[in-house]
Amino acid sequence: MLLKVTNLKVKFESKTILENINFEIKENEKVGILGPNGGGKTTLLRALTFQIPYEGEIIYKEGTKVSLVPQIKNINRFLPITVGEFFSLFKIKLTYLKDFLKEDIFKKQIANLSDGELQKILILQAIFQKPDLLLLDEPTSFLDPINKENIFSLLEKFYQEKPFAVLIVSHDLSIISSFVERVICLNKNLICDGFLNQITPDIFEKLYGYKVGIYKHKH
Amino acid sequence: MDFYQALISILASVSLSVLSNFIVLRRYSLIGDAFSHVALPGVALALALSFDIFWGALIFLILGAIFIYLIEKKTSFYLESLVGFVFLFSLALGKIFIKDEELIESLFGNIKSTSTNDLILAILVLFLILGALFKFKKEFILITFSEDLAANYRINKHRVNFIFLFLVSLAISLGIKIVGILLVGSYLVIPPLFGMLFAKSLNKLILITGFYGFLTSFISVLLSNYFEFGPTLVLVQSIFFFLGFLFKNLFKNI
Repeated sequence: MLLKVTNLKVKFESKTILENINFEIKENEKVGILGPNGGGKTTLLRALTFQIPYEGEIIYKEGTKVSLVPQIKNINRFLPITVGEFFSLFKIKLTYLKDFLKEDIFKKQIANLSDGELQKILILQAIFQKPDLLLLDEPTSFLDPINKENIFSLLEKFYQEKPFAVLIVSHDLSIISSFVERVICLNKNLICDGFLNQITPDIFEKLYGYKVGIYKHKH
Repeated sequence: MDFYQALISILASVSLSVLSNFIVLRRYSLIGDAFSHVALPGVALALALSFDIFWGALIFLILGAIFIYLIEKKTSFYLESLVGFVFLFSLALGKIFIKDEELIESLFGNIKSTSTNDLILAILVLFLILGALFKFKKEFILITFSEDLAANYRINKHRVNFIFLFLVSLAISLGIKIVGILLVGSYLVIPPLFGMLFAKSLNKLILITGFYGFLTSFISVLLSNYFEFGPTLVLVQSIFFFLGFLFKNLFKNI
């Protein structure tokens, strides 16, 4: 077991944001977190990285390295540093990155990156820390379909090379379903926890509060 | 103005200009400007009990910072509203206790009242700020870039924020002696604006703003025989910004 969360509760002032959260993550497991806006997804990631006070237990296997990729909307892009400088802050050698990024990007300012480029850079930064658990907060929310694909093929490539556990927050089951095996549904409480085929329309109704159809594409 | 006073002005200008980069990048310009007014009751107290206004200002700024931090942690108020509240409270408190003839001096500063003690203070503050920027550069950058990302590297954001606020309080307290409570805010706003016209990296930004702090205060020292130092400095800073802006745009169009 890599991570065990027991009776997790997070309060902000008198408002309870998360309550009765119990789940486990195994090593190299790929898990998605679904839930409505304000359902506590980002809060859960912040608790898992010990940024906010919480009640209950969050226990990692000894020596577990966690890397969080924050939502790009929470990033201050006005910082006048180049992509090259950004990576050297984390002591990541640029030669390692040449397979994944075009060379001219290293001289580019962070402020001049597209959302897709910034997201890719944040993910590379996190992966090159060699995490045992990678936390991704809505990595595809602002991206076009091609960039969405790119992000997941990048993750898959690294996963195939050297597996790690992934916890990926998203609004969209169809986007993460090609990547994750298991899904946790979060709306203040844990609404579901199971494999993809166990997620039924009833669970979605409970999660989002209204009927949601699940359409399966025939390929 | 004697040689020591000129040196004090230049050293304080460099300290404030360099530190202000992180204030502007975190979009705290106006928050920092308002925050500097929290020093007024401290200045009033120092004048009443006749100790150095640097310490009076520093004590009130740090108390103000702790107070704001504690309330911010407990509530969801916006930081700018809280700072605004503490600023108005301090201004009112300070005005009641300060003598009218001392008010103008605390609002606009008086470089001619500084002594050799202040020179030692100015050197110490400059070394502390440059040392801290060197030691905590990665922490400051990461906290500015994304607090979530900073958490990945076991960076304690409360600790880093407190160190940062302490440095800002030190620099403001020194600046108040020279340009006063009202004008010290110019250091928190204008140098990074100038620097960002030309800097393509953070290191260059720090170098450019440091040099800008040196040059603008040096020119203001030369002009201080004819005009009052504080307002002159702000005007010189502004003129340099306009010139830089014009230069950059003309250069681009050629």
